[in-house]
Amino acid sequence: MNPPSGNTLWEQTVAAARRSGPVPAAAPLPDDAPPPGFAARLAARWAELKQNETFRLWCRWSYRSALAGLLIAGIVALLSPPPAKPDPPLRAPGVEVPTFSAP
Amino acid sequence: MLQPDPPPPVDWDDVIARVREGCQQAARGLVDSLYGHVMRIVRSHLPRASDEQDLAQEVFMKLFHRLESYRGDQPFPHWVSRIAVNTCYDRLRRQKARPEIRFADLTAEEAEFLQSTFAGPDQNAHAARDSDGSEVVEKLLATLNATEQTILRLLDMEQKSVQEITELTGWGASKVKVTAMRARRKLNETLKRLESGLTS
Repeated sequence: MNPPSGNTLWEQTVAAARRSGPVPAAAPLPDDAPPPGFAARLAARWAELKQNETFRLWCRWSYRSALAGLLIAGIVALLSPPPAKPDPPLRAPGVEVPTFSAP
Repeated sequence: MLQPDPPPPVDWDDVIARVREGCQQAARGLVDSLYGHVMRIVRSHLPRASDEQDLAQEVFMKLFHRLESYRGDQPFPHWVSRIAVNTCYDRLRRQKARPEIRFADLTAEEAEFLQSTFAGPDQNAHAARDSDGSEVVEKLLATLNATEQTILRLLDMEQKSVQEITELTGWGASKVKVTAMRARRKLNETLKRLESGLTS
């Protein structure tokens, strides 16, 4: 795309603004240094967030580990053969008491 | 007159590595080195924002958050520019108000500037010395939406190429071209309206 050629009103306006003074993009800053404490504040905030993030990552990791442990335990429980059932206890044989009918 | 020595070039790889490790001193150094660069972008994209410090802070926090994803495939300041431009764009998008520019809202100097602009480049060359046209340009740009503003600022004010804009914003070349054309058309219509107000 070509730069403004100065034919339209907008192009004329931009060109004139450029001639009349620096447009904001080209204007030099009076001072390139940040205000006092700006960098230190940002760095401290970043460090705090990073620390929180480490903690958050640790929490997430331990939560996932716990879930994974549960899952593995569940799978193992499902796949392992059921314990052999003990034989039912033998019934005591019934005792038949002969009855004697009276002659 | 003695010129101050230029600052030594920053070893970005070293600074980035130390910031990634959590070194606060390196983070402070990074902010100090890039502050001017970031502020220039913030001021050129949001010159009317009173909270430019807040915006610069937002840019730096995003930078720190995304530092892990920096792969070194482009110069570090270019990568930072991209974050700064996108942060300004996000802020512009949140600003819902798009004030319409009316002839009655112009100051006497701005009206004079426009009058001399409409009269032609030769007349303007003289008049423009006394009046700052950048205010008028800012008022005109403020009437556009966030995408249009961002593209016209980069294209017409900073005179960047379409290729550079696509690299900075991540938008396609056709989007940049079409949006610029539409935005210029809108501004020309606004200026025609202002011209008729000046002549009536």
